[in-house]
Amino acid sequence: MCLTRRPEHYNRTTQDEFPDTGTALMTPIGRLLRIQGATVVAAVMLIASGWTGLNALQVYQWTLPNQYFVPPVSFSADGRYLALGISMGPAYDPCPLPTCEGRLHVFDLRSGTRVVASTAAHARVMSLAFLHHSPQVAAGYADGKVRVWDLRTSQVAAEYSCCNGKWIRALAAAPNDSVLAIGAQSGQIMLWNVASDLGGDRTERGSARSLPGHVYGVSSLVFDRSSTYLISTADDQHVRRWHVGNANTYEFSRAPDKAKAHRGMVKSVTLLNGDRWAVTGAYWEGGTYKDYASSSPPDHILRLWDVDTGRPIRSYPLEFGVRCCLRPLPDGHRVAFLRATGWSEDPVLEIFDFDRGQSERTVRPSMGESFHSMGAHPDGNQFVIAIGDGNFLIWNRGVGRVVAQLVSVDDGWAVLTPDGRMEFSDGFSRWPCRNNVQRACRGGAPANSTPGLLGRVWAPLQ
Amino acid sequence: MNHLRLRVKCLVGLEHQGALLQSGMARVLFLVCAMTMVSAQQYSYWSLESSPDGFYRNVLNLGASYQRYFSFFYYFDGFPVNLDRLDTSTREAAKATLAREGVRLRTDLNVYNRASIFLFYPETWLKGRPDTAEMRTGLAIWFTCSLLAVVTAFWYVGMPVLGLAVALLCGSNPFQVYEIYHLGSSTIFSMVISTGLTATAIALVLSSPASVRRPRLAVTLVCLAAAVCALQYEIRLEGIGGFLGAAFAWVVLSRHSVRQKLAYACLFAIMVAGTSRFMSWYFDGKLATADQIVEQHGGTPAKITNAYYSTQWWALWSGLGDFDEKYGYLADDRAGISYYYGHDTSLHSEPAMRKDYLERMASDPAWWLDILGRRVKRIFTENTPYRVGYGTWHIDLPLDATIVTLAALLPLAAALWTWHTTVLTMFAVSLSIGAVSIGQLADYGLQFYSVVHLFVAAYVACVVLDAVLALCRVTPPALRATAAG
Repeated sequence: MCLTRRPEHYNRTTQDEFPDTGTALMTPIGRLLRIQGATVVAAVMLIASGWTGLNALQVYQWTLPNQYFVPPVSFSADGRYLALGISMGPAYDPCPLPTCEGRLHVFDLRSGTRVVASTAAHARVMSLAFLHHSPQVAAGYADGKVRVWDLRTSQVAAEYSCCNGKWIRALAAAPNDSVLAIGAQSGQIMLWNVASDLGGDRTERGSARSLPGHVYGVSSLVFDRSSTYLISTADDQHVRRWHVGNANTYEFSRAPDKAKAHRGMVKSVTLLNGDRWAVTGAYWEGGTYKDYASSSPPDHILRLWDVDTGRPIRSYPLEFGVRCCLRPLPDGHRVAFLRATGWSEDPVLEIFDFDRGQSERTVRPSMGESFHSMGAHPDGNQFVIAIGDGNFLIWNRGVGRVVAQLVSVDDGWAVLTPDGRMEFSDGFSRWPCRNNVQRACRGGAPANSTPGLLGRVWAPLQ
Repeated sequence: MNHLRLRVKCLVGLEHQGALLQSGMARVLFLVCAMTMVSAQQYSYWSLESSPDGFYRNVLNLGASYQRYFSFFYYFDGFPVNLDRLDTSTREAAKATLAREGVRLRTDLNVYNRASIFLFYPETWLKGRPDTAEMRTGLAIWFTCSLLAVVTAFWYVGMPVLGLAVALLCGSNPFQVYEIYHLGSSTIFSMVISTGLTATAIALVLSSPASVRRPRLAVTLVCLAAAVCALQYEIRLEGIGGFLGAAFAWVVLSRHSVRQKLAYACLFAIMVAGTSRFMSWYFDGKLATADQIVEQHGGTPAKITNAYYSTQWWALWSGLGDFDEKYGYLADDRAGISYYYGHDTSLHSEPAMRKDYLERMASDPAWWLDILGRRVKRIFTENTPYRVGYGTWHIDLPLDATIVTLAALLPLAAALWTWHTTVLTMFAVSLSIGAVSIGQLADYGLQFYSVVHLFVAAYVACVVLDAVLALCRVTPPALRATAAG
């Protein structure tokens, strides 16, 4: 074969590469030894400068769009009171005082009035729980404080500092009001003997005992009716049942069958069917590409557990994972919750029927709205959905639409119905018209108020 | 002995097939044909009307897309303000949306991957509107360019067939094809391979003897590499992994003098720093513009500067939960955030994660090494198939990953024996493309970041082809010169 001359750049022969025949055919070890010291120094310098450069980047703290702050919404067991946790400040985590302040607003739905509106510079309200036998509500704050507010006096009746100042992400009052379970971001679970502390003077210390808890943040707590057991869920993918008396625990999920366990951060738990079933939901972030490619990704699943044995009963695939707020409906076989919708992560309200094993209804936010959290009235018909900035939607399951919007801020509150009626509290007129109330205003001045409208919104429930 | 080594060197250097392309016309024709084939293949994917097979994919969603910021960026030159699900189909509609949103407008905080916003432009120009644009076309252009760079680089160093084989295999890689060409919300996970291939191409040329003789070419390539590296850092940090192997290969294997190496290293560092500084200045300006517009409408500005931040140790830390929960680590990056906020926050997040990671590594090195070992194994044995595709058609070559990998050890050992710079460079660089797969989370599908198995398969096939040509008495110039001597 006749070989033509290669161009210069292509003219790479063995001789060209290694002009010194002796060097060209040296063994690799010999060649390695010939690498000059300065080259090694250059490599070390490059690595060192790269390392230094990467370290120089590590100066910023995570602040993420509200990953953990879920503005809490809670109803009292008799459905009379509605408590709202409201954040004043930017919508990101972490947002401590004084950048973000929390407010607790409690409405008496029977009288249509706001009975508590805290204005003190407290940290964000992260969780809420009503006591069952007295008009009192416990609020967990982002600075590790737990305060019990008396709705009759609108004052703090007891206070407890907990968990090294970490977020109090979950609260649950025992049905006999003997203890208040506190779940913190540190994974700690404390049982605060709130009954004795409420009986005495307001205390900063409180009497509490600790359960082993979780490694990661506690996301949800619920007691059974007998106040014997407490069930906790956490970001560590575990669901645990605790005996309140002796702190013994067992896992719902990890053993013995890991395949039937949650593989995402477990976001919420509630009890059904006379407390014999526990329902849990997780927001999926784990799993493998194979799981995702399969028809049923690992944790877009609603799981049903036998509370007595801890064994899984059934699992129900969802379109996406549960974001928060599993609430039981009074018929005993339905739950409501906020569910993610995809990578955009805008949740929807979903009602799931366990008898039929499928979703009964899905409520999607209107354009420009985002559902942040949700509370279900014990009647199972009205739902309050937090959409941010002190705005809440009241959605009625019976009529299948939003029946009112509630705005609650420092200056006062307002309720607005789709037919254009509205009610403003005293002082609210000083608050500038904005957001969704804006369309009901005339040149910045609120239109006429309809007294008693807030009460009538809930009237069918009374 | 020396003749045997020379023969082996010609074989591992694929010089027999190079000998078939001696004439200038043949070389140019081959290059044009190869580039046409690669471009046509990528066009066939781009023009698909349905998403490609999504089995091999990255299941992460963080940092997936900044479509929500693009309309504001496009119309008002500010970044980052989220106008997702709002009417921004035209400039007038976007202005009306701003007026309507008012106090709800907000400049977002801590947005990383920010340079990915540029990738929306090509599709915007095609569609004529920003609100439905995705990164698909931008990513496709970048990937096609990187494949063409690979073809050109291998052609330049005298391995044109190998370059074409690598480009076709990487171009058909189902992970990459899905990440780039799927319909709907775009992700930026394809950037690791695209940039890694570009780094490979640059390092190959830079390590070749020709670059020693052409300092202007070398300087241009160093500057280009630095610009790509800095841009990649602003899009996806982990994509920089591709440059680690390139730097290693070049420092150890290239024939530049020590003085030249130091000069080029300094040039590279200065260019990276300069480009990064420019990008920061640019995005700080966009942030200020966004704040100004948001404030004008009564919204909440970010009021911070230098909002960029790194999450590398977070990702490394989360990866400790890849295979077991011995120490409670979870392969879930959001769980990592949860853990941090539940524990000692006196340290910033990244140093806290780094401290915990390094302490755990030091306290149980066997466990840590076991994780790395399992990831390396996964890169070779649980990776994408050896696929060649065009549009909706594809064929998976029935090759066993273990056998192909073992088969590559022989020519690799031969390359070591003869110290074949180009081959060693190729292996070092291609391995580094998957460096992130070894360091970070695995279960999410990050092993697909590594395409080293495709390099290996292409190389083994070319060695076999070269052996066949040798048997057919095709003689490379080196052997011919030796014989003549």
